Amino acid sequence: MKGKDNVLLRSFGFLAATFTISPLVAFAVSAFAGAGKAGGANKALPLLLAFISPSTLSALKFSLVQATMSTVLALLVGFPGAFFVARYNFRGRRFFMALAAVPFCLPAILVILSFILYYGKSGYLTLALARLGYIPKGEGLLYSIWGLVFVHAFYNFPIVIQNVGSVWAKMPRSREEAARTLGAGRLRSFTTGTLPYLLPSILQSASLIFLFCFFSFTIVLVFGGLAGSTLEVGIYRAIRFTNDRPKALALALLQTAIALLVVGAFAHFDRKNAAISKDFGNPPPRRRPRSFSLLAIGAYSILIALFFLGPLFALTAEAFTVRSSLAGASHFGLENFSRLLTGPNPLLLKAAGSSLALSGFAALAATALGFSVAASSHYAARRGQTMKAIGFGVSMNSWIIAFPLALSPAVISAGWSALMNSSGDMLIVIGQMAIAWPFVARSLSAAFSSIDRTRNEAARTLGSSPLQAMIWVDAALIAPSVASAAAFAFSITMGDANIPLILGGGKRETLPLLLYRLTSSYRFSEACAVGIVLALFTSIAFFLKERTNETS
Amino acid sequence: MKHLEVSDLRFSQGDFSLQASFSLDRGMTGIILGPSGCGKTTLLRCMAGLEKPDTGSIMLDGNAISLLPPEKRNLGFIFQDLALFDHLSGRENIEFGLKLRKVPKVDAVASIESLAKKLKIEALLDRKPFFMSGGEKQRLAFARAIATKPALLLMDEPLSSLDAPLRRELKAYLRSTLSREGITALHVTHDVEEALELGDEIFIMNHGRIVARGAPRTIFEAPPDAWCVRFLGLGFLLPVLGIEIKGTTSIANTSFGSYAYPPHECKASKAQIDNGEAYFFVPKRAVSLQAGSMENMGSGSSIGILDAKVEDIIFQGTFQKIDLLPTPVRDAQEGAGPPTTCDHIEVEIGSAVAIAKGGRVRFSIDPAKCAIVPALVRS
Repeated sequence: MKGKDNVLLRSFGFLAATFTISPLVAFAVSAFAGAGKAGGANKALPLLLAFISPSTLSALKFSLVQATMSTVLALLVGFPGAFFVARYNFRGRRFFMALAAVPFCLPAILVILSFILYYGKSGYLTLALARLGYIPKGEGLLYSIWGLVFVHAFYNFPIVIQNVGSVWAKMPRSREEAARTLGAGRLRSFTTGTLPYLLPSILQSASLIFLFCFFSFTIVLVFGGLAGSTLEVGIYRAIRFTNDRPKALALALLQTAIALLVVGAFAHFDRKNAAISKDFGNPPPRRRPRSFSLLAIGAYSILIALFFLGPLFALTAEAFTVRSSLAGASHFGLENFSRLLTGPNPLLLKAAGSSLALSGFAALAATALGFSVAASSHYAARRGQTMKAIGFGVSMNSWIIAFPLALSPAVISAGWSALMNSSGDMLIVIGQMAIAWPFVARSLSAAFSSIDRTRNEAARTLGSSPLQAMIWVDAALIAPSVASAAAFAFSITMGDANIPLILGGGKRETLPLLLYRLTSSYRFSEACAVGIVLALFTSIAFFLKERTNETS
Repeated sequence: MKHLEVSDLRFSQGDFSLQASFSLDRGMTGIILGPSGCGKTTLLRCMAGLEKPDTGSIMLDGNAISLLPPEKRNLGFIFQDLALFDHLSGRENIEFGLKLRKVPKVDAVASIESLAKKLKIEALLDRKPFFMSGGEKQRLAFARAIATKPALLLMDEPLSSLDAPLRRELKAYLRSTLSREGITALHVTHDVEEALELGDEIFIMNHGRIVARGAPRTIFEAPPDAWCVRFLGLGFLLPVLGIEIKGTTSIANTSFGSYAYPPHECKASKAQIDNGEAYFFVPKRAVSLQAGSMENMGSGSSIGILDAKVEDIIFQGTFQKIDLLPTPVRDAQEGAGPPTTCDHIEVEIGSAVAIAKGGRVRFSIDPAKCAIVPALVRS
């Protein structure tokens, strides 16, 4: 049995690794093949030149700078929220926690659209501030590196609230109190009794946000050359417009190398965080906020409403605003929706159908692969077979799950395209599955490890065979998590614009692509209508996931 | 003047309310004893300034500390989970409070070395808590709490998570160290044995109130109410059916018969007795037991002697606990009235006495050692 488990673990590990690495290799091979007919060192020359070209270095610098700045700002914005949800019971606490859904269920293209409508040159807030005389008319708040950082930070700060807040809420206060009884003031007792235990979750969130911002594609693409170009956008341009494969490969290798370090740090802090939280015991009670704390929570809520919810309200308002011309009169109505749903070419209906079908298949496939990887490593670990730690103290199977996070979606797409030598629906499904399965595997690994082993053992002592115990006990306990992971995968694939953009070959229009196309042609109201439909699909799936998690 | 004086401390949260007044002499160890949820930990946290009481004053060493933040109260606190700083070594944990008090480095080092030697924890100084056993962590937490020479040491069930042998060892360690160092301490526990071993004075709490206080012996010999008798496991209780005064003698009628008792040992009011809220408290030491049935005894010798069946025997090492089911009796004095029934009672006898399970025994009660107690003291 032990041997069988080992074989199972290794075969799923091999499958997952192959699935991840093969498009990368295919892409590299295609890049070399495209580097000219000369052989040997001559083939590597364009690659080497691409590495040291000024545009590569500038993209690298810009990626690192904007990702670092965005991460720091997201931490600053999210940290007070994490404190409030951890320590206080107040109206809206659950809402703050639920905001964590935004980075996962609202596609970047939708968020950028809402930010343009709110902070752009004719944005609601910009106009309001101009009217009050705070900024000159016609000057948007977004079109600089600061705008990019701002959008990234406000897109990702809920991750800090969710990750740091949930650890903080479970943390016993006794260490902070011990420091106080030993003579420390509030700040010192926080830095001694709380911060060291919170640090892994802060760094874990920071590495995740850094990764998201580092790979930022749509947000940078929409801003175009105004703010600068990231490595991911550079890869996309090199593949799509200049067909400079060596350049794309150089950028991809640089990006993956840096991302691997961050992914390693993420997995390391994730492991450390889990080890620390394991000993926390019962969570301390949360208090009702009074006077100063109530005021602080109020001020924070206003800040979030103004800067974060404002754009989303603007998006909703715009979706229902019908304009007769750009500067003309407008009224509220459903015409933006009906225009896209009726007529000989009902764009919205077609795009929704494509999105549902493609994401449905991709989510199913991602769930199957993610489940197989998580289950095989769980049962192997239960029998005492764990893979060796190979870097950052992270085991091989954790690396297999985390590695795809370090890969550029543009490279995965191009790699699959080279591998299958075609474009079309099948490729989109494979590409989207490739980006979603690590999230499924990660969430199912956590679900498996939270299963109390004694339940299975109790079933065994009551007469179940190992297989029966696995089916009647483990499968029943894990089923809600599988459903929730599938919903999560659906949310991710539904909101993804990168894969269909690169692999669809222009033949298939999904909701994010339609949104992107309408935004590019300045049909903002109709883009918002599409955005509302897309947000409905992704958020319903995400909230189903949250609900399943809660009830299980 | 007392070293610690707590006056009318009140704290409320939801349905729970705490109200306490008590004092403690310098160098004494006070034990706050009570069941889970009675407010022991809350009382300790209020004293440390970790909870904000609604009213009340706390005087420590002549200073009013109730309005001071925790860091200004000069207290030591040992938490239930010990709350050691895992990222700091044993030495850094102890040094933490000294640094904040700006003790010069040389003096701090000397003080830590000397404390470590006294508490036999030299080997722990350069290790982090993760690499220490439960007992070692306990010693380190104790050292950290007393390193700053606090005016009062507060301990919140610090031994509750330890296994029995380690707990025994640490109880002896705490007792000797507290006494040798002359530390004034308040120790919270729900373990009666721990309270007896460590306390100079015991405060028993129930539902947020201190219902009894005194030296361990006083509490054990004169519990204030039936709740304390049950909680401390001091003996058994017989409902008082009525009181008769015959000249200078007070007689309590119970289901086991009528007993003359010392009049000053009646702690229940007349109203409580009339309302059936009073009990005849029979301490374990007031019961004597003999093997053999009443039927084997000659007539006339049975007054005050009761018959019972041995339901169970639990061997406890130096003594054995006997679970008895007394035979229903008529009024022993009058020989009249309906037969009465009674519940199981538990008595303790030396482990050398040979008694068989299922057999019959005779037992008698010495009323001079008994008392009448109310069901519950309300304060």
